[in-house]
Amino acid sequence: MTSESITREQIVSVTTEYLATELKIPATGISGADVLRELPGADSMKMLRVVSKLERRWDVEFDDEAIFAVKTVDELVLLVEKSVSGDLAES
Amino acid sequence: MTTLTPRDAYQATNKHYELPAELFEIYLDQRLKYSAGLYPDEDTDLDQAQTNKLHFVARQLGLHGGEQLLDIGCGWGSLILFMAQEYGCHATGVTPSRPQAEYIRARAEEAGVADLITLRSGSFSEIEVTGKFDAVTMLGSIVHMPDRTDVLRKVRDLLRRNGSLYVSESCFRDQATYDEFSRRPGTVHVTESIFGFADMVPVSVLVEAFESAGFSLTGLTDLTAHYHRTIEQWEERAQNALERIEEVAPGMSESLIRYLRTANAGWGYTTKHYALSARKSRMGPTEAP
Repeated sequence: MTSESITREQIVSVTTEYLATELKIPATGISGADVLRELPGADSMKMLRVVSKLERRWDVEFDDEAIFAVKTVDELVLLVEKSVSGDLAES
Repeated sequence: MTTLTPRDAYQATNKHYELPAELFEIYLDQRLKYSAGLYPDEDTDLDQAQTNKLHFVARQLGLHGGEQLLDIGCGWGSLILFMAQEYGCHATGVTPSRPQAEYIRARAEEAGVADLITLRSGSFSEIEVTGKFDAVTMLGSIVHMPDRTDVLRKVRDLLRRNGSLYVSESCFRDQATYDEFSRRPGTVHVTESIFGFADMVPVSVLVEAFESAGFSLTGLTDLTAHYHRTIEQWEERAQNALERIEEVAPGMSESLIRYLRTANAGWGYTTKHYALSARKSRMGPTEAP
């Protein structure tokens, strides 16, 4: 990880992009309050693929319990944000 | 036994480790490493065996140098001082014992590695630890913690992705032996009279805790024979210095010898000693290309 601070906007942008790519829908159609399971074409396997890409992209591993507690796009962004800031705290 | 709270266990356990370092200098190696050594051949002495073991731990963790290391239950600091000196690690030790912490501070100054050593006083379950670590070690300390899964979850949170964990522990050889022997007088002498609280669960229970905490288990090494040899050498030293033991810790020599003999009688019959290594990595130790 670099010590450059990662902004919430970057995380939102990457998360939205991964969701859009996985679900084959336009990123502009995804908003923070959207419930992940209700996004067009969403299923648990696709969501797991998004989580996997996010973990690799940010070089983190989320807690399993925290992953399954996530309901909305905003909550997914928050999960990434917390993990990334935890990793940067010491660097 | 497992109905004790982590705090009860911590308070009970700490008594033994509050005894003066002078006592342990009598029968342990020069680093005061209070856990199994590693004996590649019959001529290996205690000091060399403990040095071998510390290199073994470093290899199991995949240390190359300069890592952030956390040692939970660091005793008299043998591991953190070694990893700071030999591998340039920034090493944090957790110990509830004040005498141990003072001893380590003095040794770190002598060795010129004080700037690489951080000490945290208290029970790992209760203290707040911040930052991310590349490696965590627990040599013979999880046995003193009834909340082992919670402890391992906390460890996992403190590790960076791909960070490594090394745990070594003495275990009853299986569940039936645990059920039959864990309340016998010989066991209770070791686990309660000497150590205050120790729950020597079978390794299957430790493996289950690793799984529940979200670790990928990467290695399991049987070190039983090595602990047997280590304790033989501790007992030999203690037997040769019984008067000195009584000077430093009056009334301790008999119970110390009894503890060492009980421990060594059981290896392989009722007890085993294992090293477990694990990674915080969903895919295990190596990523496929």
